[in-house]
Amino acid sequence: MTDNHMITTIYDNWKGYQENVAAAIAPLTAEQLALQAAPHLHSIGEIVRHIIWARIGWFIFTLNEDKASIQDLSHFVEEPLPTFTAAQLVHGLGATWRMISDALARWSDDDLKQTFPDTDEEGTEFQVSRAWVIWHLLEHDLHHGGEVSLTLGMHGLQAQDM
Amino acid sequence: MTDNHMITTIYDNWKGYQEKVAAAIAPLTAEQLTLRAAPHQWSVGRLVEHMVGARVWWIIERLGEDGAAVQSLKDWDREDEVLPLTAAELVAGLDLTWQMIANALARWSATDMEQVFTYTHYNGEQQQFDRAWVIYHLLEHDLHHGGEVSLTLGAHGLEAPDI
Repeated sequence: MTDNHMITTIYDNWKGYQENVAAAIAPLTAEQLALQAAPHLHSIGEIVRHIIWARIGWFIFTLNEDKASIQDLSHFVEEPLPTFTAAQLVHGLGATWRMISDALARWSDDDLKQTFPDTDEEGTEFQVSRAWVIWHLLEHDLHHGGEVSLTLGMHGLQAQDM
Repeated sequence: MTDNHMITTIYDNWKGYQEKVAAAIAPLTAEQLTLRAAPHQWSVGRLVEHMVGARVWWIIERLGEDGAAVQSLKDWDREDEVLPLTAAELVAGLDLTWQMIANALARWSATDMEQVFTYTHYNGEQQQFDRAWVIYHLLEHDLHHGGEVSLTLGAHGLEAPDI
């Protein structure tokens, strides 16, 4: 883990943010997890499932990280995707955060620069570095966390504090 | 400016993210900027005002940076008033305040990032933070509220920022 103050500030507070998301969804019922901002948009539960899915997808399928630590989360990436309970979603956030945190503690600055091939929806291959994947997961967590917050708030439920 | 690859990756892509938010709101009409996800929630325009106002508030008011270029934007985040800003004005506000952040990041050293500031709230409560925390907070604030902008636009069938 780098000792740079800026980067540890980012990692520490990102951890706190995603814990706030977990705390906000932990008490929700199945009916509340199904609430949406509009009929054509993802529900609260589906947005959180998507956050977990993205973490697993980028780490396991793009960066080829060891999947042993998240073996019990295979149902988050296998079709058809089931509907998850709040407890399962909180577990998924916690387990995938540990996967990210363990990697950040292990990767050197040179590791973060290493690139990996990936393919976009049109079939075009591109290269991503570990650093870009970390940025993207931070962006993905916070952007979709905002969507979770807005959806909770529009239905009068307690949203995560920032 | 840091030469740490992870940090420069984050800064460069944060810039890209907020440019996507700007591009999504640029074509909106005055009526579209008033759209909300629910009647008790903020409109698209108000959310962007809040993003811009927060940047000025933290960088100028709390860290004491020179705010001559952006001083008028501080009032964009008034709780008691929604300003009738156009999409062009909101885009200019995002751009101007991004320049403010980028200039500061280019100037601050690693030691500067650790400097602690104390802010006394109107009720006497004191809050301590360093520059690094303020930068993280503004990043978080942009992305969190950018997600809210995205969802509000999407709920009304409008093109949202793509990530």
